[in-house]
Amino acid sequence: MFIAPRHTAEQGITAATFRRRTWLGLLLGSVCLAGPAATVRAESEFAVKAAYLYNFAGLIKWPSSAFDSADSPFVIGIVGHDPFGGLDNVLRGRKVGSRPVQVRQVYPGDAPALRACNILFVSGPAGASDVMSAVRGLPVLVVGEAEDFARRGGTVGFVLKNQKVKLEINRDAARRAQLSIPSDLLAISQVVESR
Amino acid sequence: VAAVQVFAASMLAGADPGLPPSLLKLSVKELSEVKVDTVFAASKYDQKVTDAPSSVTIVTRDEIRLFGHRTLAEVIKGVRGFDVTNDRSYSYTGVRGFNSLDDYGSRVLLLVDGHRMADPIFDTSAVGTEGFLDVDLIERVEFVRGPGSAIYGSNAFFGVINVVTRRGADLNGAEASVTGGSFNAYSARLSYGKKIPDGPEVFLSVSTFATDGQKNLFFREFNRPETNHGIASATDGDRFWSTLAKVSLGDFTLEGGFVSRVKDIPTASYGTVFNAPHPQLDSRGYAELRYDHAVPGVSSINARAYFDAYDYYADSYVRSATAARKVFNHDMAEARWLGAELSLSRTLWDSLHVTAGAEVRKGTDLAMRNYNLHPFQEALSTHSDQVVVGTYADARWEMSQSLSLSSGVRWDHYDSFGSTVNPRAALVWKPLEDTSLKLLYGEAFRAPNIYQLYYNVLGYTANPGLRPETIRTYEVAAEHYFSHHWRSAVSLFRNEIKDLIQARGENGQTMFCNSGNAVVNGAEAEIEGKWGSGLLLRASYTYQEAEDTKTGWLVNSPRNIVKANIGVPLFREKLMAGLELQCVSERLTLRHDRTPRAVLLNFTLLSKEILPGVDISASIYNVLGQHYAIPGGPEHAQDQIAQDGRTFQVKLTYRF
Repeated sequence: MFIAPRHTAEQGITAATFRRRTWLGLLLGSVCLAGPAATVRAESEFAVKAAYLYNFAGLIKWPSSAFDSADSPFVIGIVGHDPFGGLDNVLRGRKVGSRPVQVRQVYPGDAPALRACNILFVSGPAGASDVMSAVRGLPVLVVGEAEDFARRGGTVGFVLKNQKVKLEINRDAARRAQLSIPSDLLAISQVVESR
Repeated sequence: VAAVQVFAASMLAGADPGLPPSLLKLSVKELSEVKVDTVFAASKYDQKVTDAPSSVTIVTRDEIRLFGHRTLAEVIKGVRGFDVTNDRSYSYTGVRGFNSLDDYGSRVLLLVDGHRMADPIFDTSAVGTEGFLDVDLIERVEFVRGPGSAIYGSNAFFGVINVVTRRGADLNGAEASVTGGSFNAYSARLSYGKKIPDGPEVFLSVSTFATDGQKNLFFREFNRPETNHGIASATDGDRFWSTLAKVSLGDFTLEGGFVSRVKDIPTASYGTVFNAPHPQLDSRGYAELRYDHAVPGVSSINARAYFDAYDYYADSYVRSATAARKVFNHDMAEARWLGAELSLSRTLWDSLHVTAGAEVRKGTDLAMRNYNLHPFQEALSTHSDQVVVGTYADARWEMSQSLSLSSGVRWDHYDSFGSTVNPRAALVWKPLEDTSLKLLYGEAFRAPNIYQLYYNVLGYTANPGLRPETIRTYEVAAEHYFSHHWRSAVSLFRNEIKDLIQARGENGQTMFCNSGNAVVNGAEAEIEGKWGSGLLLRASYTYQEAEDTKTGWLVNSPRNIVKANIGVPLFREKLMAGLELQCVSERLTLRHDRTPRAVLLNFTLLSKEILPGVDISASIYNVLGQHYAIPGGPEHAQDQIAQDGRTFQVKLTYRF
């Protein structure tokens, strides 16, 4: 199983014989197939989540009833602590279609403010239930990061898996909110059901 | 410091104020592949670094390449609070002011993909060329400071280092790498990885390395005509080959690895003949089957079963007591062990995350032998076995949005000394999402190993009555993120160690005893900045006072350590410069001398995709050519062992 060296000190394994043996091993082990290899630097978890939110705004289709007029802004609300440290700075001047993006801090008890948002991001370990009851039936995408957020009624949950931010999507919740989730977003997500 | 500040300010002038805007250009598919900072090893499940019940550092593959690290030892050296010394036999890992000279880095637990690397005979955490992995195969390394016995059992005394290897899907093809460097050092690696859609994921890699080492080494302790005036010629060679293979299908992973290294020992350790051949072989291998399953609602089930092997053979000449002539001696150890672990992790009532597990390890054949040839004379032949059983539970309770309490306890039973129970607790307060304050308490143990219990040759006496040594630690750790670029961390710690297992010499006989207590008080501060352009700035300072309660300042424990790392994109990310600085103050030696303070500067230029699929890097280590030394252990006649001066390495990697 393991090679017991049967050499004496005078004949100690020399670098040369060692190299010869290992080169042979390398040759035997060589298998080749084409394919690009990409490397990605480790980013802040919240930078990735912020970029997701911006992507959702462009990918997901909101019904026209979600907006007062053709030029009213696209509103992203942050419920709880703001973990992004300047999401409004980064998204300032950005547009979703023709709508300027607006970032607001909203409080979980402030139902009118919650209803005025198109995306709500619930930060920290808070669940979806409080926010969901305020916006039930309205076209608001509720995104969170608590464990099983989408299973517990939220629309999209961020999940940390293998050092990556993955998505869980509750399609029933999306349907109730009249939001249509495109297939390329579903393809990279895990579809979950309410518990 | 002022220069760094000015430099930083100039680099920051054009930087964006908030998130890296480049991320906004990515599609959701690309975003789902971006790596973020999480840690597994702190609690045996993936959690945010700021939530972990310990002070945690993550080193990524990109950083390892940027700073030109050749071994895991060099990666560890760059991390705040960690220290690695090399006596030209092995590399030894110390943590927070404690790096004993009579063990093999056994007070830190090394894991590869969660697999315990310490062997039952010597408890080696092999991080140098004897180490298990080619650094090119590392995806990231998690450093968890503080005791981890509450979930890992023995050896997780001062900390846990978990090496996560690359995945087949990340490689997605083949990769070849060759290096050349000082002292005729050459290495080569060939790797292949692939994930077949809806099928298995495979990873296979083979590496080899060989160096002549320093041609002539001068040791003044041997400066006599009969010992070649202290010059050891061509006795510093080093060569290894190693392999790592992984196959995953669904929730199952089969992983296996093997390394075989031969090092020529130039120091004439253990009273062997000076300037004579003294090759020492270490082979380490394992095969492990893992099952990782996440059930909706029930967070996860992890199970592993493994078989491990470790062999050590040393050939040398010794002077026989009766005759003046030299006699050929063979010292060896062989260990085979197997084990299994099951751990369950579940969220209860939304705010309570519970992990529980059990583990069993059985050393089936743990053998040590020592004999002379011509004439044959056996000095030692022991065979033993060992059974270790452990079970643990760990819980994290989210008391409120900003406050969480983690606590855990583990019970271990050894057939040699009996049972031990080790708890830990952590209160994590996050007044803001980007600020965390951790109050940490922990207890841990290090079980006596087979070598310490039963080795009785070459002036050593066995001591089967050894008890485990224990530690209690107290730590306050604060972490704060400024905007999205700067992170700062401060730690104050106190470690109280009891019943240290140390080699004690009397009348020419050495025996391992539970002798001595030690206290380490220290403080660490670190600041780190990272930008989307690839710019990286990091600096840390550690002050540590490690005292034996009777004899005072511990040997091999520098009081002040400054570390700094700067990564600069010279031409976008195509050409990067990596500068690494390590300043280590004096260390006390066994003979009450002091090693000189060392200022080490390493410089690497890394060019990525200079041609399609081709990366090239060139590194100079110890640029300043500092003459520095580390204290020699009791097995060496040398009180100080000189380290290498300026060396270089070039590396070429090709993906196809």
